[in-house]
Amino acid sequence: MKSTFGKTNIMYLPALALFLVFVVYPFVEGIRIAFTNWNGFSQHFKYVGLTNFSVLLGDRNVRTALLNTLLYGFGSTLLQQALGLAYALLLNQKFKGRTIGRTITYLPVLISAVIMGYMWYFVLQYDGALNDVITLFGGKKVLWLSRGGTAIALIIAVNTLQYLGISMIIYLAGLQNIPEMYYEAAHLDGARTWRRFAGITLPLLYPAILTSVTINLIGGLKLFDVIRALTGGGPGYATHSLATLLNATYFGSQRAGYAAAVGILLFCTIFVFTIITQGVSRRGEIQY
Amino acid sequence: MKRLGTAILLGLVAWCLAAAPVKLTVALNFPATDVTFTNIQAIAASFVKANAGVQIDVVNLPDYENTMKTKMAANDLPDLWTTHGWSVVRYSEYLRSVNDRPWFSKLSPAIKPVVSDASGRVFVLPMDIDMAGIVFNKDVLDQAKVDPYAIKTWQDFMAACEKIKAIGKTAVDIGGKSGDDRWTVGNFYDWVAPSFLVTDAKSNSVEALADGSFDWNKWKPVAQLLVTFRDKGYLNPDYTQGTWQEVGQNFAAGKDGFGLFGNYLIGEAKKYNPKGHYGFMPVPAASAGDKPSLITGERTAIGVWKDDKVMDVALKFLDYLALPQNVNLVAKGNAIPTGLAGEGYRTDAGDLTPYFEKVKGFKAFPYFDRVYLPSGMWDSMCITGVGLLADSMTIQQAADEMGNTYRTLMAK
Repeated sequence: MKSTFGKTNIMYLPALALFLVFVVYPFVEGIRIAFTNWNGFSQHFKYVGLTNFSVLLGDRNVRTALLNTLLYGFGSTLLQQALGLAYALLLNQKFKGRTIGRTITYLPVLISAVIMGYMWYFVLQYDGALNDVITLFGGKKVLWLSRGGTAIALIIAVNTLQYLGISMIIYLAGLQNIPEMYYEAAHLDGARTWRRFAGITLPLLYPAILTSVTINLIGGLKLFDVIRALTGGGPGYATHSLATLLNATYFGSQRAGYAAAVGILLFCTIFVFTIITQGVSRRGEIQY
Repeated sequence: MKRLGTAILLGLVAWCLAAAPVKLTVALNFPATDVTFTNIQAIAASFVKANAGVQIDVVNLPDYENTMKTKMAANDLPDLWTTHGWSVVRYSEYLRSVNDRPWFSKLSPAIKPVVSDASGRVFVLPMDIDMAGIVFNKDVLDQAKVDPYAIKTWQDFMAACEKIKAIGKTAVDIGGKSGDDRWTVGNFYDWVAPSFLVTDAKSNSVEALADGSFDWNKWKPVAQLLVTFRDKGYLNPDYTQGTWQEVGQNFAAGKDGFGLFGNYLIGEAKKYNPKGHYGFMPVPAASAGDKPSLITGERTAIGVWKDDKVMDVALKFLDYLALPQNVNLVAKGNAIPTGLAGEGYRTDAGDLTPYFEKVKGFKAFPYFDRVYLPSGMWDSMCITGVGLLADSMTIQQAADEMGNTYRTLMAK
């Protein structure tokens, strides 16, 4: 039997090495640390078995962060799909200035999320632009970011505004792939705008919807920068996501072992929803 | 010919290696604009001038605490670094003991217990001593007819706050923004907690805090004071979104009466209004049976990495830093007492000298979180404080949260 080694493409080895060093090794190390009481900087630590995980199950702050993570993930994804599709439908029309319109809608994607967060902080802070407008009309200044619920809604809004351009681009590409003849046939059959949208556009956008939902969902579930810039996870623990809680637990409370356990929870959360999305994707593929 | 070429090449390499300067990195937690940074930089420059072949990089590491934690985890540290209050609890594992240095016997008695571990080992050169109370804007207090030195208890303090509030000023500027500025709220606890739990010689929780048996229900009065300040309208109106920079600006603009910060608040206010009149007073007691007190700790404390490759040079520079002219320069820059005492060492607090005279005789206690709590509690103090201010936590929840973190960290 002839060896297959000679036929093997070894060009992937550098990529594999990088993947092993920067993804696999830290991942395995993260799992190991989750079973220790390491403080994040000492050379000494103890293995504590499943203690971190049992504490995690009863931790009110982790439950809050998990709930917030789901809110950020699904809230942002929902809004991004609705707005992204609306923008795509609008900017798919032929009119003067649509290229500029597309560019403006996509531009925020290019800005760093931290910068976007701080820009919005300057708008929303007590002496910020929004309160200036309110006082201009005789209103009283509002502490926008000091109530958990309001702050969460604002974080979702800022994240949505930043990344809806991604959805728009995906939907635009999807819309441009739908053959015009379907619309012409529907038009001849007397189908109105809504009917054409529900009967042709939406079903044929299915692959685009799945791509967009997956990308936005993963982005939303691991949301970090905007939260850090706008609220830092506060007030209290009210706006923490699992990602920001992990950071605060590791560096702030110096509980690296416990933070690693939170990291595993975050990994599992994203993993489960990605698998579900992939499953839905395989079942619902449409041929035309 | 070939041999000659090789010999010349090897010679050149050896000469280059021999001529390469010894490089020291001194990491500071002070930003490059801070007076301490520029003073250390100037001292380093004079050391380099006197010691040919030595090069010193004085650097401010971004996100200092977290960067240092990462460096410790990797056991790859700068040659020397500042320990910002944590020379014993956090950094001692990585620092060389300095008990054998020639200046060790000159350590000021006011700072020696703060920088010593249980066995008496010291790991840093404390160039100055953070000696703090409650900072005030004298112009505002005069306008409100408040005598800061007549304030003995928190009740007296609140009566003074009422007077300041009555003239339309903010009595206490807490900052308070969640995120990067939440330390301003943690600082409130650092100032208030000792009066409830530490300073009263007859009844305190020092032992219980140390042995892990502390009942966190005793935290409630501390947390309650913060909530009372908020509910009575003593705090800055944006008490959940105020930044540290704004505290300095408001203080300078004469909008605030008190600030529960070290004298660095005076330095910050002077940036915006150098002509303002600022002073400091002792921290009030929680009960009439106790006395007001001061807060003390490390300010500019520098240690040497225990595994340093150029230990001799690093120690030589540390000894150089300990010379009277250098210690005096750094302490004067911060307007606080010198960390070494004896011949040549002289405290020059500038405008604050009369205030230091006034607080002489008051007992000083270390920063609450650095000595009485396990390392890692600071964040919980900040987070629960912000949570209370924003009403997203009850006092019971805040005490429970503090207790949970405390027990976890004590169990290590």
